[in-house]
Amino acid sequence: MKCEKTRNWSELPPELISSILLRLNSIEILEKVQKVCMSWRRVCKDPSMWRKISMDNHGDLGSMGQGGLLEIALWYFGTDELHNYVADRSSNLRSLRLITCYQITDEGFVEAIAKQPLLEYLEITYCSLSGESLRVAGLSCPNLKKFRLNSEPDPKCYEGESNDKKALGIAESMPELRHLQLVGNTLTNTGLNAIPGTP
Amino acid sequence: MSKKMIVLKSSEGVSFVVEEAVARQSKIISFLVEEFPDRELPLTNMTSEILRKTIEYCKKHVVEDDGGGDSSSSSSGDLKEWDVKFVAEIDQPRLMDLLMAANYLDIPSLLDVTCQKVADTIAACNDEKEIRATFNIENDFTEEEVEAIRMENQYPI
Repeated sequence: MKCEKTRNWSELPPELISSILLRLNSIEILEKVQKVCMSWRRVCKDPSMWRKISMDNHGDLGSMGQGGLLEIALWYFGTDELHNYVADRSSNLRSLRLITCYQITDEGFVEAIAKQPLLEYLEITYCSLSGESLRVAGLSCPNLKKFRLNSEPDPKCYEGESNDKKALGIAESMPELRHLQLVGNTLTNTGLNAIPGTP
Repeated sequence: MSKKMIVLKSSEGVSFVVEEAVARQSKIISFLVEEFPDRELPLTNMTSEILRKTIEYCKKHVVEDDGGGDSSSSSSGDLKEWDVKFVAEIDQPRLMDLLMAANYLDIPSLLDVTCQKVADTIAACNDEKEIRATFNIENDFTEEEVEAIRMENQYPI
């Protein structure tokens, strides 16, 4: 440990850089840290940096470590393109949360979810997806153990028919489910009864 | 009951006499103390200044379970506050030295607070240029690499 006035922080051993950078969020890594210098960038590219991502505003997902990502949450700005982009780069994903992603369509969702077969936890909050899409999600992800579907009650569809379809989708395709949460859902007994384990 | 003492020698050859319990905050020293009976450890890659700082930290954090020592036995909240103040007072070059020392001597809690301090400083910077300036880092990217970063981070269309 020399005593000159300045230190070159790019010369820190990679394991120490990593231990520092793991305390920063994904946006800070992508927007700032990886553009600092070569040695920091190398650490940023390491898959161990990308086990968990939470993004709550517009941000770049450009250079996620290849395939190492285990958890991601897309808030507000999730689109079919982004979901597919993530799916192409994270075949090992275990946890996916789509929150208030109104722009995600059934077609786009089904396409992307097929590339995430190892999912164990899926949350869909305030997104407008059909029962058929949920059924396909269940079929694509045989390991799914926990599923949350949260929606705002739609005053126009109190008959609950479309929600029954969602329940049937869940019932048909997610036999391994251990935890199910349905909030703001106007399903009827027909739908509820279809779900295994509900009286 | 008299306390066991050990001597830690800095790179300048300055000796620091420290209670063994204090020095044992370092897992490496803990190991060395058991291996070497002469109880004088040369820490040739640590300056006196950084060694003094490290000892100050270890003294504060030593587990006072044998009744003796510093009577200001701190609650964990106070200790956290003390840690924050401790790293806040250290300038940038010495922070790096202290971080390396914590790593070298294997003192997990000191490594944690120093890493956190660096992370907080990075988070407070507005962009990569400010980070480079703050940490005295040279921009060593080639033109091609800059372009590669730009391309890589285009928002998916």
